[in-house]
Amino acid sequence: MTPVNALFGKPAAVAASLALGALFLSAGWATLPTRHAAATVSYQLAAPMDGTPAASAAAPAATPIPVPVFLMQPDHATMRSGTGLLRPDGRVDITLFDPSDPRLIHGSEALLFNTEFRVLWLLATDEERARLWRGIEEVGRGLRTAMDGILESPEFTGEYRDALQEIGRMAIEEAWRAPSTRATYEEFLRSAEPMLHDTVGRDLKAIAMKQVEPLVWNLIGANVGMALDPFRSQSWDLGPVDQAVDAILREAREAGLVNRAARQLADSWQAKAFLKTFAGNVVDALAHQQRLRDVAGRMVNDPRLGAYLKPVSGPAGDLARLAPDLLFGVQAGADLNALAAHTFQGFLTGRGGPLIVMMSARQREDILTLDRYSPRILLHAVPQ
Amino acid sequence: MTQTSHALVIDGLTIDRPNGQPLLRHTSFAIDRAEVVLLVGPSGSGKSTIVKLLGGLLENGPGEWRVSGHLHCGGQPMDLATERSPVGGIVFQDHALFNDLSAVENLRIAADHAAHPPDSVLIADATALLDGIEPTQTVSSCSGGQRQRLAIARTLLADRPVLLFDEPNSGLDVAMARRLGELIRDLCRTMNKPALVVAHHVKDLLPVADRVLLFDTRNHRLVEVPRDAEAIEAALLALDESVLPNGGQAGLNETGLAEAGTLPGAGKGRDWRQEIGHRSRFHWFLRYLAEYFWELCVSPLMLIYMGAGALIMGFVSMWFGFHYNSFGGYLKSLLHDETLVGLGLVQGTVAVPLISSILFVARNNAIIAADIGNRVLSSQFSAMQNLRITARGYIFSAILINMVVGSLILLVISLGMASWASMQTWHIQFPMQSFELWRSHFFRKLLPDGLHPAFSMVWVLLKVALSSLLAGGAAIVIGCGKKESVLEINAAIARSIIVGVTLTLLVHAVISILTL
Repeated sequence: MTPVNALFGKPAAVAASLALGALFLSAGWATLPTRHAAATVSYQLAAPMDGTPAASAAAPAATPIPVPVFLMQPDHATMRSGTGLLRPDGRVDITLFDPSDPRLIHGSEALLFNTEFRVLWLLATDEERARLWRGIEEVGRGLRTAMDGILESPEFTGEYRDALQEIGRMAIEEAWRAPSTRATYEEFLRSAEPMLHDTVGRDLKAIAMKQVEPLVWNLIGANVGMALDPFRSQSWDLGPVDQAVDAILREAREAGLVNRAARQLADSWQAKAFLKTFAGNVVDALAHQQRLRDVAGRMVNDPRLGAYLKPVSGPAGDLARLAPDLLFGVQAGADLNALAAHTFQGFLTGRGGPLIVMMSARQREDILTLDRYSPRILLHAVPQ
Repeated sequence: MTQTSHALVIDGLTIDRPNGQPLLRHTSFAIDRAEVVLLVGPSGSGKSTIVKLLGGLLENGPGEWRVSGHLHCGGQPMDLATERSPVGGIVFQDHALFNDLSAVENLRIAADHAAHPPDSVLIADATALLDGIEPTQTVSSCSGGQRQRLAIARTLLADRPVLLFDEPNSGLDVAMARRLGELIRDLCRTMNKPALVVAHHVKDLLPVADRVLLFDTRNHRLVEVPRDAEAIEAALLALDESVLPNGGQAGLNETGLAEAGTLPGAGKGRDWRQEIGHRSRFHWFLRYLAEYFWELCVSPLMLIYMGAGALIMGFVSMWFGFHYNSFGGYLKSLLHDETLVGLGLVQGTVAVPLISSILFVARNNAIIAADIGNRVLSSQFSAMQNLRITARGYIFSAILINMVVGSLILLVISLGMASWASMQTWHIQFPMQSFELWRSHFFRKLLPDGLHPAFSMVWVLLKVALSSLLAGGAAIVIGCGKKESVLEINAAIARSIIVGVTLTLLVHAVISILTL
């Protein structure tokens, strides 16, 4: 008997233990995450498109940051397929989980998104978006019906309308008197005068001049008898003037002169600043009104008004069920919506960060058609 | 009583039982060199207590036996009230061989722990008894006679001044008993050492005895009686009516002594002398450490048992973690990542360590209690003590070290297996996803950088190691309790499992709660 026999029994038992130990440890080792794997594919962040607001797209951080990489399949199902490293110079090195995965053939192009629920909307299929729109429209219709019902109900008109109108009027007056509103309004008026002057001087003058010559002849024709009878006591016939003014107004309306002037005014930043300031002050005024809170509280708790919300409750419930199922759910033929899980996690933790979705060229164009600004295009780069 | 001409002198010996009843009163006797003395007496009279006293095994103190008197041996006086006698090497009635050691290891360990390394003459004398026994033979494969000769040889190698035989002819037929008597007598003459032989049945040993001492239970004294069988039996009958003269000797049909058929000096001792050699105590420490490491940690059955437990744990946690009813529909998708992180954390820090510890402790506490209980029941610890082998230094420390080390090794193996089972179970549920997705989420809290464990794993190691240490200690304590039958060993096994698992649950619960 050898020492090994004396201690451990038969050599076969020792061999069995060694084999079992090695088997178990190697099984455990195989579960450990892969570290320091080489990049499989590299991309370069494309320059933002014209007119893209800088803050809308994910910008490279000062230090390299890990970015989850997803693959969108032909049916728009997404699966996690790797990890990328977004470098400060805009280069993205992607390490795929399984570079030999045949499904990667659908991921020749890539887009960089911010982790937000909008990504789920963009990546949904046309049919899913259409279903969601229909749901939203149903809710809108139901809401309008409900609001009409409430506003016309005796309960509302009897108990709440006057109070709300009074609150609204007071809020508007308070907002109108606010110094910031006055300042932006004055600025708006100062900017409006040159624009109106320009419109009148150029377009309206041409229309008016076109009516002047007939007006002169019409005036002459209408008053020629009276001009020859100096004792006649009747006044001058000014009907042609009225007709000319009507004609000028009609022609100006038909030429869209008023609309154009109004649009010019509305498009000016002074008008926008005024409206934003005014609206903000109205809301502030409403928010500071204790009376509004009291009335609104009574309305919310009024069971009689609740009965008028029935038209919206059904569509809202349907939409509440449909939207998560379409955006967060698992597509047919897939077993997991990894993108939804990542987005939801980013929403809960507040640490979303950028993400990359690999897709086909067709899918990329479809998404860019929906939104040209928030996704950032990744261009193929030479692997380092 | 003169002390110079005697090998052993006992003077004024008084022994009181733990219950206060007297055993011996002011008894004195002496044994000369090479003299064989029979100590006879009724059953339960206390003959073996004399052997234990001379072998240093009698527990002396408050609540234990109370001893007074003096012993002189080799010119060295000794107060028995305060000192343990080191003079007697005991050959136990049931041999008390260490059955986890081979035949030669039984001898080696005795020789290596003797006060002085045995010389070649002593080794030759001892190993001359071992004809027919292979050095690497296991104790369990030896016949009764072979075991008896092995036990005698082991005691000889301990090199004590006096040989003590505790009913060596018990269970032997007449011929074998007489051969044994001759063997003892020849050993004493060859080695010039006295022997005190406790015997219940004296007829077979009378021919080799030089003197006979009778345990007088009425007067609590040792009385020398003539070497006459009838006189001795009459005296025994007078002391104990229950004694049956020369009856009940059931032959074991053992041929060990007959096979030997030889007396000291006639055996093939050369191979044994080479085999025995000398080894350090560190060698024996490693020897026991390795023995228990195999038994408690890495035997194939143990690995299969732990691996299966981890496999089931990994499967169950992942399967039911994702198949719970409320995880249907899109929630399954939304919660997938965090569910994996949570399952990984719970599995790695709570579930697998707990299951691993419970399985480890339940199995090993049974083994420890059985092993220790068997050593107690078969007097192996007494033999170790008599041979100056520190059971705590070797066996207890080996058990406790292996309980801690083994629990940690098997924890790592269990974590590996459970992780693998979890990963495969997850892939069954999500076949379209890559394993790397599972890896990145499952280990997010356990291995923040992908390889190095999080600090929280220190607490996991602590609770696993501590629970195993406490459970192992409990098993040792329970196993070391008094054992007089196999039934008591069985009860100790059950008790040690319950206590060990309870301790494990408590340690895991407390540390888990404190480190949440």
